[in-house]
Amino acid sequence: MVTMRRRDFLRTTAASAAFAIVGLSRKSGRADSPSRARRVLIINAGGGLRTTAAFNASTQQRLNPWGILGTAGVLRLGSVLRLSESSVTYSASSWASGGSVPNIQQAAASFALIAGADHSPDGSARAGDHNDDTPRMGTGYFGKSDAPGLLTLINRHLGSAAPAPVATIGGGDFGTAPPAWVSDRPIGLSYNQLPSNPPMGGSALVGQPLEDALDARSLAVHKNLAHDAVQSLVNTKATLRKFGPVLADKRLRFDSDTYLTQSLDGITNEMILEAVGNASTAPRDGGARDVALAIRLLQLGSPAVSVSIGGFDTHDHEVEKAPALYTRFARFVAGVHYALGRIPDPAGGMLLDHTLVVTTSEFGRSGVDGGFNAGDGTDHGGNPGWRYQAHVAFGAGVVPKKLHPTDDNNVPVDRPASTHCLLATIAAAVGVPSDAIDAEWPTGTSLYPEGGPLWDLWA
Amino acid sequence: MALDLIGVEPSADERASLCAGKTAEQMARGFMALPRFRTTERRFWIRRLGADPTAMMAEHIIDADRLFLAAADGTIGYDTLVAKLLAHPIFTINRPVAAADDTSPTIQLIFRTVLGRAASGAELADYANLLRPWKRRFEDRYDLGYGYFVYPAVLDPRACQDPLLGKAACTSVLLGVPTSMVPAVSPAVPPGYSQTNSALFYYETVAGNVPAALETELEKPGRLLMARDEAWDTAADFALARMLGWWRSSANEPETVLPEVQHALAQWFRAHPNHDLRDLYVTIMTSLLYTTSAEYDGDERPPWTTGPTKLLEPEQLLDSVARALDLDLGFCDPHSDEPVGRNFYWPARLREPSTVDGSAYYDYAQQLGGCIGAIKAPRSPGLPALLAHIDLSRSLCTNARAAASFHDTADNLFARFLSRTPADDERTSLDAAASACATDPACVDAAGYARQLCGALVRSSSFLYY
Repeated sequence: MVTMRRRDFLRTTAASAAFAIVGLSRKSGRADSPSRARRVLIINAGGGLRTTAAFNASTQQRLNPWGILGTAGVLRLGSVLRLSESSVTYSASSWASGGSVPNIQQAAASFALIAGADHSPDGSARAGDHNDDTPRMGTGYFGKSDAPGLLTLINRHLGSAAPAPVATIGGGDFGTAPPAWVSDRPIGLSYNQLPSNPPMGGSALVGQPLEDALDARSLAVHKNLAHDAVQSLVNTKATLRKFGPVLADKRLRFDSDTYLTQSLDGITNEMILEAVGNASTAPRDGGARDVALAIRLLQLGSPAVSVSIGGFDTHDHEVEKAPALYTRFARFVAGVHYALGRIPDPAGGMLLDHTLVVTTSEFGRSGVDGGFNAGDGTDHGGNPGWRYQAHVAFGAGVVPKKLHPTDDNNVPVDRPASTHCLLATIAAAVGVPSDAIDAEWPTGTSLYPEGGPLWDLWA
Repeated sequence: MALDLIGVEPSADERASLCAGKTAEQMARGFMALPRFRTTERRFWIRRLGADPTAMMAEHIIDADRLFLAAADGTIGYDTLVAKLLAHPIFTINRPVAAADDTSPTIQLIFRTVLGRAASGAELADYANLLRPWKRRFEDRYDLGYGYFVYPAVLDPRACQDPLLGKAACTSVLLGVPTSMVPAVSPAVPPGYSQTNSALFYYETVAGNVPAALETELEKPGRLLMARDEAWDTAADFALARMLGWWRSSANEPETVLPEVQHALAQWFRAHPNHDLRDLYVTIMTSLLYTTSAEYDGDERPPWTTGPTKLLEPEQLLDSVARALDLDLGFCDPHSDEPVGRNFYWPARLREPSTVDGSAYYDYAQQLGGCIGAIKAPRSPGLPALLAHIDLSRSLCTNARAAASFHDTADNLFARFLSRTPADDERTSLDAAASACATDPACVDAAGYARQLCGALVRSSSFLYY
């Protein structure tokens, strides 16, 4: 004898029907806002980017031992962003305008900055390690097992109608997909792991019909949640069949010079590689190639892509590693700005006019006297240099302004922006319905004290 | 049942000898008598405890295998298994490197695993007393084949000699009968290392051969927890979840809220002589909850009125495909995701000899989210996994063999992959596909048909969910 659970009781009663109808018809208290962007690109620095030395540079040596490069628009840039110019290229010879790609100082003049963002604006203690803050950056939560990643949410609402897939490239938890979200998990891609042929599975006349018949029977005989699980797998297969040809498109191939001349709307693969600072004449930079792949996916119609550049967890030897690491990252950001500003948007204007670009990382890095720890690196956990992150935002009409400014100790002058607010802003900007956003990141909580998205970015 | 107990679809011989004409209990006991049951159990417990070789010396992790295998053999009961695990570094120093000497993650792991819940703040402080003698060191053992410093476990003979607290420093008072865990040890140090602390007792000096008196003392925390009802509820819970596939519920609300079933099973198991885990499994696997088919026509029913439906784990999938196609793909070490040959934290000497060259098994499993010890979450059937299924079916189904006829080929492959014959509606599709084969350049003949059907089976939800 088993006890019927409340949920099942509700499922089987008339009262539950009324409850369900009320539940389903409940809408957010806020009306949907018009979309600000047609697509979003997240450029993530995996491991913990020291924003106090980069895009929100401090004059304090403990937070920024490399010093100040200069001011660009509302951003104060750190010298480390251009300390290793030999690790990138600037030539734009294959673009019609020729010349060179503007550097980060030139590009940043049109950037906005959310200077002080916090994963836990309630002031709670955080472990400050990657395994808790990476999910916070990707999903807004740590230890919430049903929290989807930002791109998973976007994929659920925008993915099915898009001509190219929502994708995650590299690390980060933006594509996290708990059980109820498995069919919405964005595809994970890498520039050197794309299929040469459309991954369609079996042949059209024999293999696929057999697979479909097996799936159909499995669907027919399973009920309840088992049925839902099988259905999500079947849905995902349909997605794969849909996007298989796109994934095998040679215009996504940045792993070989063979494809340099592949072109879409006059933009060749070589042009994109030049834009992101890894011209074909330079040693291959996997990070740059992944960024190039992201740009091309957006051009093909993907509503959202995240690309993560690893290596920022510099507990030691940061002195040696940071110059190339940060110079490359800045170069990628500037290159994205350059490329999107010159690639036509199929719906008019340029991609940059309708693409929101945001930089992220799971956290910053702790300030330490002298600038580095005993291992010539920096750690995370313990002070404002680590806790408050600066996020760069541009494109899609974002106004160059600084929000949630910090003082020179990297402490927010007023209050920090919440990560929930940032994630909700991105989702809202590309058109995810507000009730869906509120379901994941409800406003007015200690994790999301703001009343809604950061529309000030556009004001 | 075979997938649950031996991690692979049954072979034709096993179906004939262990299934045909047998009761559910006879089947379960037959599968549990196979060597694969031991390795399947070991893998389950390794994942459940999630010891990370980068945070704990590999010797400690592999030493715990003897405990898992003893439980699988019925040599020790569940209560003794828990007591011995809680007296072992596999639990006592099991926490991330970043946690350093903070035992909170260790205690939370112990509570979640043994009691099925998180520890309260007061319980954290209380149980920490029982862990006080245990310390984690960070030292070189390069001569043992490691590429980096490792984390050996030690017992500090002075830990319970606090001048103010005395024995109370190592006493729990909140979790049952006040219990002190004061191991009487003298310093014992492995020879030949420069970083060892001569004041400490290194567990590695007695691993696998802990003196009885010391073992008894070290087992006190486990015995203390096993005196609580909730520990037995949790034992019933994990077995129910494992065998019945309660994953079908949302992660926020596990479908284990069948209090009468859970509690009755827990009470029975607690009172059962020897507390043999195999008997617990048999009880579940002979129940209506398990033996009722998950497949039925008609309207929805409450979940517990249908049998279990579970997703194949990567190793189950690979082992089943290999068996269905008479291939040896090899295997991967369940303890570590460190690639063979790297020898950073998992030395080659601790690995079982590979049966095949190359790393195909590991590579496939990694794409599916498997071969990972307990460090990462199991795969979910998203696009990356599907790409892996396609890749897998494309490369391995070249080995699918055609029988004398299309009909026989279908029957043979259905038996090998699904342990059943095609249903009528599937037979219709199979016949249609066989008719179309000659006009399909990818099929053409019986051999091509076998490849196409094999691929369809590998990718199908009929195979991926069992």
